[in-house]
Amino acid sequence: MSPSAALRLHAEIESPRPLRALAGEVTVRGWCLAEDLPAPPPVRLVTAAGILPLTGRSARTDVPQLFPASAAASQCGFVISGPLPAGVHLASLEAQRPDGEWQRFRQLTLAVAAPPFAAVLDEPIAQGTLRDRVKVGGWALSFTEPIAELTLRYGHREIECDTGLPRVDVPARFPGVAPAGRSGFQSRDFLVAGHGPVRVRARLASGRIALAPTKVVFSVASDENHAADLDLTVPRLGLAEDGATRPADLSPPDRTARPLNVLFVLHGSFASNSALHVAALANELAVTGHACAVAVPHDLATLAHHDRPAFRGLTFAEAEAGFVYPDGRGPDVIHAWTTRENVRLLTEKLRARHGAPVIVHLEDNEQQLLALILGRDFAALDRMGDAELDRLVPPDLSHPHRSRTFLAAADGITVITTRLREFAPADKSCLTLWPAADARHFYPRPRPDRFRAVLDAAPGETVLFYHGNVHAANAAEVRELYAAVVELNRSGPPVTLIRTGLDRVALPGELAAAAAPYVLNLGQILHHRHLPALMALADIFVQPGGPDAFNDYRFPSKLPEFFALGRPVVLPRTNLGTLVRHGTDAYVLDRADAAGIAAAVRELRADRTLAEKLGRGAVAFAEKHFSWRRSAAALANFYFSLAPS
Amino acid sequence: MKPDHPDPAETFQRVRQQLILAQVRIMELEDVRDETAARLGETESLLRAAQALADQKLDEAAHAEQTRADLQAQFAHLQHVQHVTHEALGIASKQLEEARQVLELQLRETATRQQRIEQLDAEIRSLRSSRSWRWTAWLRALERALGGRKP
Repeated sequence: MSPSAALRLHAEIESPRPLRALAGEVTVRGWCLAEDLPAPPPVRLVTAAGILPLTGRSARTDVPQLFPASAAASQCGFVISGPLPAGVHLASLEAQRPDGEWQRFRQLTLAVAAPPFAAVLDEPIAQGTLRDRVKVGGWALSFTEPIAELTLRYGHREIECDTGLPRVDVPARFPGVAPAGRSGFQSRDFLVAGHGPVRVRARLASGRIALAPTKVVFSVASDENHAADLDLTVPRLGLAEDGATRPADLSPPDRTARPLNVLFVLHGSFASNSALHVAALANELAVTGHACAVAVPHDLATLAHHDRPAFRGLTFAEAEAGFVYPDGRGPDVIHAWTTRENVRLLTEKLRARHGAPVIVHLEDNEQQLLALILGRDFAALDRMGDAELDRLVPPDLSHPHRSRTFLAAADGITVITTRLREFAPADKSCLTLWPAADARHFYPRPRPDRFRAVLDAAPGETVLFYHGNVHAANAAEVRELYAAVVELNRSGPPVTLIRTGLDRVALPGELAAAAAPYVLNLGQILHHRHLPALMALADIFVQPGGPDAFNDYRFPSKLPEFFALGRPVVLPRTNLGTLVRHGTDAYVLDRADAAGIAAAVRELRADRTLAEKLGRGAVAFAEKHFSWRRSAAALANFYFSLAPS
Repeated sequence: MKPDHPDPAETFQRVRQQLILAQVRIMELEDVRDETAARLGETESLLRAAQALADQKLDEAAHAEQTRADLQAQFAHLQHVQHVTHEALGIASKQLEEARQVLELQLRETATRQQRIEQLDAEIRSLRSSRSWRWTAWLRALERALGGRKP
């Protein structure tokens, strides 16, 4: 090309980045004009794998404003489309000069994705709705590997197809693709009842699944197993109901001027209730600039159950082996979550290694918990020698003697409820740290009435909700809840208890059998963030139990979640129950036993005004008293008071 | 043996349970979908950035290539200028040599003539300082007085 013949080109590529062609089909849009020519020059796209010619022209109103003197400006838009092989291509866009030579005006990269699978359903129809019980067919072509199995999915149905049938039309569309000639498929049987758009689903030889949409909807009303009165075309009812007032995201708090490296040491995995508290605090601390890590003794993978953790999870072994925070240092604060043996042992090793202050968190009456689980009197346990206790006390419970020494050596203590201060040495700094609910998910949610209309066994049904495992420490009170449900169903309109969690202690057989028709046990819900939508099904939340040596020293972590949802909360006059106002914030029972729970539910069911008032009261109480952000701010100040600057 | 017909109440309860669990599954799948969409978005973003970087490098390479071509052209022009200059210099040198030779010849002629002038001058001075010249001075003065040859 002689330099004297070069065009003075102006051009722009307007296809947004990334220039990624799906299924091998490339499309590039832009404009191009030459100052010297009265009409826009032909353009093309050149790659090492092939040349794509100009596909179409388009009018432009913007380019003439840039080049008012150019006659070609108003028609200089172009589009180039066509297939290219998969891969990343270096593409040149070229314009043709009057002498026929091509002049490059732009180079760019193109990513072309492989078309793994293409399929068309065309027998008996290629688009529209098919309502007949017939056999259907089409073609399906995998470009990368053979198809091992092919099915058609629509609505709730999946039907199998025979593959490898001859097609004379497909090879013309895909020249050079060997399997095209035998890409035909046909359903093995006539269509069965089902409604929905059809997808062709292939299991490829490698086991990979490939899907291709079609333009066909199957809407078969009935078959030998489905009566015509079962309408399969109705829209699906979901749990989400319009009207939920999801709170706006909290504005980010001020960043700390003194970021700390905080290590939490947990006694259980990230699936435990304690982990919910630690994760919430660590997330909030991280927002303000602190670096947090959480060590767990086992099942590190359970961290995946948490929503967007802003902290590092690590195993006890990793923590013990030595780890550093992003600033290259070790922990400034070690927060031991309880005095359980596994926590104590690791914490003492880490304190010796890092010299960081240790704060111990108390969330249960550890003495009572030990006695309950071992089935022995605590006083008797306390009289035993260390060697005997070492044999008896498992790693996830507190040693009566060693836990006292551990607390005595702590630099500070946090407690989930004020009564637990009784276990803290008098000279220790102590902070009460109330739990809260994850505000991203737990907020007032309306009852999904349309879903309830399907779920309920009868009109006027009442749904209770209880989430949490049943273990030795709470088995007796869960029995009371079950007994209340049985009693309510025996004497009045139906009541259903929706439960989640695992039963580590079985209910008495007779009670379990009596309650079975009224209890929907959903088992363990892996992701805690999915609970609120289920909790929204409830009319009333019940925390069973009563004042005792176990309940007086705990703060059931489900209570803030109950209050946040905006339903009446029935709870016993212990722990939080001693602080809420009966009839305003919640329905407080001296003992939330079967009779008390049944009476409370009857009253709330009969008095809608009271139920609504308590629902509002619960939300108001939650907003005033439960906030992980406020708890984390108090905790950070507590750390500052203990950690040398 | 024909299985016992399931208790309708139990079946109903199981359907209710599964109805809710299906919703849980839907939420889990929605999470997977949202997470996948987010990851796809991140991948798209990375690809976009990678392509932008690659295109920027292509532009820079094109610019560098253009600059190289321009410099090459300048170099070729300078080579041509150098050649022309060299030729002109050769001609000039030749002319200079010729001039030098002419000058040398002229200088030699001038020196010869100078020698002759000096020789004649010496002869004149010798003649004028001779006794016969002095003795005949009066004849030359008389000649000038009579309007003859000037001295």
